[in-house]
Amino acid sequence: MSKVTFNLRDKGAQFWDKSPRWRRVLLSVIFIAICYALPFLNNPILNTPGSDFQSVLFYPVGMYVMMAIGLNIVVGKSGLLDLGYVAFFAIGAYTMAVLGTKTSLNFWEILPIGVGLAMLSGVLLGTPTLRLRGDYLAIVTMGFGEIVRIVAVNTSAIGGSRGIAGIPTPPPAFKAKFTILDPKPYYWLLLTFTLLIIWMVRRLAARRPGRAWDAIRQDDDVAQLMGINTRRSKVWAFVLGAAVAGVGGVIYASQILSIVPDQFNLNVSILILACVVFGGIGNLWGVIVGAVILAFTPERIRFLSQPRILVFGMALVIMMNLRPDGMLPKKKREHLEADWDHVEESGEGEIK
Amino acid sequence: MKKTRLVSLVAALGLATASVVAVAPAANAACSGKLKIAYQGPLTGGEAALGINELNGVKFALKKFLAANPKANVDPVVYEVDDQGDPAVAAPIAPKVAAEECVVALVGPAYSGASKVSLPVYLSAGLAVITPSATNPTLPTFGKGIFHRAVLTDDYQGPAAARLIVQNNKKATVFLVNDASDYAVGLQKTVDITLAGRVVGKDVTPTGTTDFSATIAKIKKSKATAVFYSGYFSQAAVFVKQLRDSGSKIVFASGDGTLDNQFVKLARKAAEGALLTAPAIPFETASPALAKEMVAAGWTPGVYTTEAFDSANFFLEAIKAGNTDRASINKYVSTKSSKGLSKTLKFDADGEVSGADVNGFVVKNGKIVLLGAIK
Amino acid sequence: MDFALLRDAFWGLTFDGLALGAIYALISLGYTLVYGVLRLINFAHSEVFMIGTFGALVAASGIMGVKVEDDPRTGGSMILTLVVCLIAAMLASAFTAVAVEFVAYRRLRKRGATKLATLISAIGVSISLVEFFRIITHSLPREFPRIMEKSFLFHFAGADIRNDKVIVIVAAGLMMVALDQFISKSRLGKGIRAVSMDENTATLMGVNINRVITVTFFAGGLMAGAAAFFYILTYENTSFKVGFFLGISAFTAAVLGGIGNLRGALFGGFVLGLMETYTSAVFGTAWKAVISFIILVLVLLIKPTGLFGESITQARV
Repeated sequence: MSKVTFNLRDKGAQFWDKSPRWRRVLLSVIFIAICYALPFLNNPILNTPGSDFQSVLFYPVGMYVMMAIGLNIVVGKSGLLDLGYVAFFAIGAYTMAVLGTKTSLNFWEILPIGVGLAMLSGVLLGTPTLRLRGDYLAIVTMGFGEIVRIVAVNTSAIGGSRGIAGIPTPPPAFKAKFTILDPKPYYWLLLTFTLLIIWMVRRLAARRPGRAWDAIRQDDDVAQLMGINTRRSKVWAFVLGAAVAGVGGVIYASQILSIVPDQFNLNVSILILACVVFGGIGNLWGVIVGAVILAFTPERIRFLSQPRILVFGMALVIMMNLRPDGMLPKKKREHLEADWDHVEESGEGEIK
Repeated sequence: MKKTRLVSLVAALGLATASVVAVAPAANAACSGKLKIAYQGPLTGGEAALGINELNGVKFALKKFLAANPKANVDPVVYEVDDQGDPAVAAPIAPKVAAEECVVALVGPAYSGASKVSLPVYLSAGLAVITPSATNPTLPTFGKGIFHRAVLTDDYQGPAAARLIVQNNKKATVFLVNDASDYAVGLQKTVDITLAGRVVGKDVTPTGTTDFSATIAKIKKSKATAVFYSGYFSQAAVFVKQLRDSGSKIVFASGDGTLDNQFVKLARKAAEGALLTAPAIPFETASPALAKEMVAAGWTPGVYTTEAFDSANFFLEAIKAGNTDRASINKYVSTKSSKGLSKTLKFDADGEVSGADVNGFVVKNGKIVLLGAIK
Repeated sequence: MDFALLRDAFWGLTFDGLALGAIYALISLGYTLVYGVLRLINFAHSEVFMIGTFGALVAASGIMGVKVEDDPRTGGSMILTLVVCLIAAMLASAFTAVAVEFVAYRRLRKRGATKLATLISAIGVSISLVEFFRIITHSLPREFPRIMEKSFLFHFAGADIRNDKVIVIVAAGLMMVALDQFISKSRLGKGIRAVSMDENTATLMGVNINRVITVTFFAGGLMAGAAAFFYILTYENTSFKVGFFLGISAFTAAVLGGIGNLRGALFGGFVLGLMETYTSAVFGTAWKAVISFIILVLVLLIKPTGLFGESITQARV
């Protein structure tokens, strides 16, 4: 089967591995340059009728990419099913909103606080619950996501269901002024952070923490036996994922300028998870592709009007049926493949 | 492999040639085709019922206008802007609407959260908006100059609702329930302030609550003579039904979110005697003939349909008066007035409608009956 | 916090909580059955329930000719109408559940896809079904006619015992006994248990896995359909959104009891119904989901696989 299918991921990886250093640098530079130039792209195929292309690049596309990369650390790399990822995004956004409106701190000063709070809540949630396995963890995290939203709705000190408005924009940087009317600087800001996060994730994946996560995902007990502190590794994965969502939340709040708690609902967590799985769980580039497609599609087919979300749902089913491992699946190690199939079938698979 | 590479090369080249550097559309560029009326609100997803009510009002107004003025240079199709009532969805759409130079007027946004995100964009584009239902009192600060509101804010409706309950029973003691939405919390607050000492208890039943047993137990224990429900019709119907089934006969009162024939249809006998207030009139009460015509055209009127209909008509009157660009249409609706079905639309400097009454209604024999303006 | 209310209205709240819990329990059986066999959370199960409510609605107006403005029926005509609506709801849900399995699960399972891929596929089906029903109902809720007059049977320690809620509790209990018997006694039920214990060995022993899975979904659908009928009988309305709200609670109930465990789901459903009602009374309805989740987390921290442990087989002891 795998010999017949054209596997873009493997071919891409082969090409990359065989490339000399100069070619890698060149390709990276070109890729990054294209990303930065995207807002100026005016392509009839890629354009979004009914919504502003430049705004779509920031949210949902850019934001989903960033969050999917973050969630991929939790779900894809270390195999923990998190259905409440939106909570950390909300915590980042609310930190920006509350501190931005009530103190004189600016965006750059609030950013580390927002990320810190998201990480702290990751520790608080993760420490007691990460010993739960698979689906139990899923519902506990889902509950956490809902709790954060419900608390925001019912706490009048942070605006209750009315939310918070009048969030300040970041101060100008490199002559770019941040206003609600121009999404481009925000997109570039988001892209810069996303690239930094990609760099960080790639470094981590190749080092000790990445190998520890791999081991945990494949077999928790064996990993523990091999001397990995699985508990600490899991909490770390959770906290890093939370940090990424926290960054996203702070940037998002500083762009949209007013937030309400109902934006941070369960559907967002589910959609981000769908991005990760749809693209190819565990594979960074697959996750990015998945997020781009899932964020972009509903905007691209906006002209369908009423059946738009129905079409989106059906496309999700069809794509998962056609490519169960995602658009760009994670490369499997050949000699392990046989064993893996067996494990998955008996229900003791990657994500329990 | 060779072939795939060729294909992707061609595809890449095609994409590249098709792409040209975007030219930012000049603000307020003249429209060369037909003028468009836009509607913005939730049209898909969980909140769609409210948006579709309003869209129907706009569609009907447009249809009637074109039937009366066949030569008018107005697109017969409403430019639909589906924000799902979600600010996150609204944010990328608003700039597109603003850049669409033929969109000269916008009815909406329906929800306050989405309004806060959209209004600054419309303000910079000079696009006039009249919202039929966003009641957050702070909205003028987001779009002062182009923002208008065809509905009274909670600051007016709440006190009137409180007075109606007291007029009904001088010794009334009231239990307050809200559905945790932005609208409901705001409305309840003003009711609460006016009733002051008469409030004997409160509960919040978030949207999606199906079982009200505990709330009803609380109401019974509080010995309240009336309950004021702040929220929308579908949940109000479920609530009042359970209240009556529990044997309670206390007065049920609610605001404009419940002023919808769907409420009576869903709650049936349990709705009898319910007191409703609204700075508006349901479409069927305002004009039974028009309502019949509208149903015949395939659109069912509901809560806020009247306001949306009035708002669209105001814009269409502006166009009829010879205004064909955003600036002059905005000037027209900001300064002139329009005799609407619900009230006369005349906006003050903040874009708020002034001089409108808050009406009281009672459900009698399965119909919403107008009691008159609440003094 | 209002502990006085809980004290004063304790029996009334308990009765209402049990009636709500019965509906949760029936829905959570579907989650648990599928989990027991496939080790997957069936995210489309909430929509299986939603379609059941519409099945009852269509049966009432279409087959039995009940109009919303009619007076409640009495005697034989009432019983017949109730039974027809119940069966219609159960069948609508059961066939939906089987279709969901066919569309969202079968192909993926044959290809040995990961659990997450299947999860997303099920979520896709769920989104599609909700949106489909939203479009055909014009986003509006639908009312269910009153078939049976609601009356108080008797008063007990300040609680009003209402006939429809008694029916819900009793009938739900009977359904669950029937399901329990089916799983433990019948041939297919034994197949389900065998597969939930060890799929590969069950195959070797000659169990037809596809058929077992179809039956599992069908049985779960029947229970969700029964829940849908009782829901619409008690609350007399439905909408495309109804599955989402009840689904989360029912799923919580299943996990609370130990997902994959039939008696756990039953127990979890009743406990959650009671817990939601009590916490609504004490802390306010707004906080009931928060308190429920906190209790769930506490339970899981003490017993990581729920109150009754995980597998269908364990429940048999």
